[in-house]
Amino acid sequence: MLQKPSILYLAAIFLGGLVLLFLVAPLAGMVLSTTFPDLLSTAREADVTRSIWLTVWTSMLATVVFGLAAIPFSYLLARKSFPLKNLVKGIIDLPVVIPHSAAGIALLGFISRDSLVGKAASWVGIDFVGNPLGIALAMAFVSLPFLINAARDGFEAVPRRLERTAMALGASPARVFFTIALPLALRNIISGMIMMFGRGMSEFGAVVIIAYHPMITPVLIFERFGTFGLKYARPVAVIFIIVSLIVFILLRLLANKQKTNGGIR
Amino acid sequence: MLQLINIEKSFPGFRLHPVNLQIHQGEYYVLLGQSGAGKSLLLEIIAGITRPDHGRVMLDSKDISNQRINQRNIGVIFQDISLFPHMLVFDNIAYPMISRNIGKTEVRRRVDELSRALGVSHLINRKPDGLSGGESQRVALARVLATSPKLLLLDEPLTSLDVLRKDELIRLLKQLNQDGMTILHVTHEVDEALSLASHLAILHDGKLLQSGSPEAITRYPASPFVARLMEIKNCIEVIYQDAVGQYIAADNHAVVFHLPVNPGFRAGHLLIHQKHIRILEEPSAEKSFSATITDTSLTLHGLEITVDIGIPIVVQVPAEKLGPGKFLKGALIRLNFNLAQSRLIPIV
Repeated sequence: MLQKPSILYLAAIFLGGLVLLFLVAPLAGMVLSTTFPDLLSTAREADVTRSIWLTVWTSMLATVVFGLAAIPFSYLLARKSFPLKNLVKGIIDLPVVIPHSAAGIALLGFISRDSLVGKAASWVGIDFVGNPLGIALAMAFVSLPFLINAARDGFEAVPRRLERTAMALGASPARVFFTIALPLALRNIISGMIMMFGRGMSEFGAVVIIAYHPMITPVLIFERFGTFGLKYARPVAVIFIIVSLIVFILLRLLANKQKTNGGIR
Repeated sequence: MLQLINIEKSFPGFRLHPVNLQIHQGEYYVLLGQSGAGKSLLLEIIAGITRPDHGRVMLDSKDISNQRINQRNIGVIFQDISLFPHMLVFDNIAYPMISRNIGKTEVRRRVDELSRALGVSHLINRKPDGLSGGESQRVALARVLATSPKLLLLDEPLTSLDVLRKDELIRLLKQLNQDGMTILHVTHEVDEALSLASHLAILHDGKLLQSGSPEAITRYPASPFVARLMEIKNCIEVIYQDAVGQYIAADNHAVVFHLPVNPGFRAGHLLIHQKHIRILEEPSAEKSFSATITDTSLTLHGLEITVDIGIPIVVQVPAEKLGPGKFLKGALIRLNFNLAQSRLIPIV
C-alpha cells in the first residue's frame, strides 16, 4: 500500500507550484499576448537585429576576455592561502549585491574621459563611454562573480592528489594546470562562462549609464517602453527572450557534450 | 642510495621524531607501522610533497631536500592510485614521457612495451573508472615506470585488493625489485611486509623503533610493541627475585620462569612466541605449568588457545595434536615453555 504523503511534503509541493507559477506566468502572459505577425515585423527591424547582435557579441567578448584573466585567478583562490583571502572573496561577490545602476556610476567614474584609465584608453584611440567596449566592461563588471565562483568551485573539487601525482611524474606546475586541473574543472568553468554570458546579456542598469547608445536590447526594450508604451516594447522583449533561451540551451548542450581527450594517439 | 638524515616534522598533535634511515640500491625496503604512525608523511617528505622542518634527504649522495617534486626522479604511487580520470589508460602511461618532451614514436613504443610488461595492453583504450583495483595498480605501475625512476615509493599498494590480486601484485613487485628497481613500500600489514621486504623498519608514533632484516626483527624484536606487531602474543612483564634466583611474573609472583641464562636485568618483558610453548601429552619430569584453557580461536596458523597458568598465556596448537573433543574450554593441560627461544627485553 502506498504511504500517505506527509503534510510537509504536500505543503512543499503547493508552495513550489506557486513559485513556479510566479516565474512562468508573466513570461507566458507576455508571449501569449504577442501576435506572430507583430513578432515577425519586429524581428525584421534593423534596430532590433542590430541591438541583439550587439548584445550577444559584447557579452561574449566580456566573457572570453575576462575569462582568460579570471580562470587562473580562480585557480589561485582554490589552491593557495594568502592574507586577506576572505576579503578578496568578498570583493568578488560585491557586484552581485550592489545596485547595478550604482555599479554603472562607479564604473563610469573609472573609465570616463577624465579618469586615468579613460585618458590612457583615449591615448590609444579608444573611448569607452558610448562604445561597445564600454558596454562589455559594464557587462563584465556585474557578471564576473558568476564565472570566478563557479571556476573556483570546480578547481576546489579537483583532488590535490592528482596534481601531486602529475608533479611527481615530472610535470611542471603549468603542465599540471593545463592537463589536470583545467580539464577536470572544465565543466564548472563552462557552466560559469554560460552564467556570466547570460548575466552579461541581460544587464541593463550598469550598461545604460556607460552607453545608452549604441543600444543593447535591454536598453532598446526600455526605450520603446518609455517612448511608445508596453505594446511596442513587448515584441522586442519576446524576441530577446527567445534568442537568449536558444543561445543558453545551445551552450548548455555544448557543455554537456562528452569532452574528447587531446591524447597523442 | 637514499638517505634520510635527522628528518623531523611537527603538526599539531603529531610529531615525526628525527628519522635516520638508509636505503641501498636494489633493496626492497618496507616501512611497517599502524595508521597514524607517520609512514605516509615520511613518503611525502621523500617525494618532495611535504617539506620537513629539519633534516636532509639525500639521493645518490646528492642533497635533494630543496629540489621540487617534479625534479627528483622518484616515482610514487599513492594509496588511492590517482590515475587521471579524464585520460585513457594510454594517455595516463604516456603522461610522464610527454612531460619530458619525448618524441611521439618513442612514447608509443614505450607505452606498448610497458603495458605489455604489466599485462595492461588490452586496457589502453579504456578510461580508469572502469578498471578493477588490480588493473588500476598495474596501470599506475606502468605509468610510474615510464619515468625510469631511481626509487619507487609505494603507499599501501595492496590495501584495496582481494587475496588473489594481492598475490599477483606481490609477485609483480618482487619481479620489479629483482630486475633492479629499488623500492620503498609502506604498509600496516605484517604479512605483506614480511613477504616482500629485504629490509624492514618499524615506525610507531613518529619514531623509527627498529630496522634490520625481517628475520632479525622477527627473532629479536627490540620492544614489546615490535614483538606484538610481529605477532608474538606472549609479552610478560617479569621481575628478578633474588630469593628464588629466577624471574617471576610481575602480575603473579607464583609464576616462575626458569631462564637458561640470567641476563642480569632487574625487570623486563619476557617475549615467548606462542609456537614455542609445548603441550605435554602425559606427566613428565620436565619443568611444566598446569594450565586451564580459557578460550580458543582458529587462525590461519591453526588453533590458538588462551590458557591460565596464573597469568594468561597464548599457545599455538600443532595440527597433529588436534582431534575431536580436545582443547575444549575449561580443560586442564600441561605446558612446557621453550625458554631458550624466548627473549628478555629490559625495562629501562
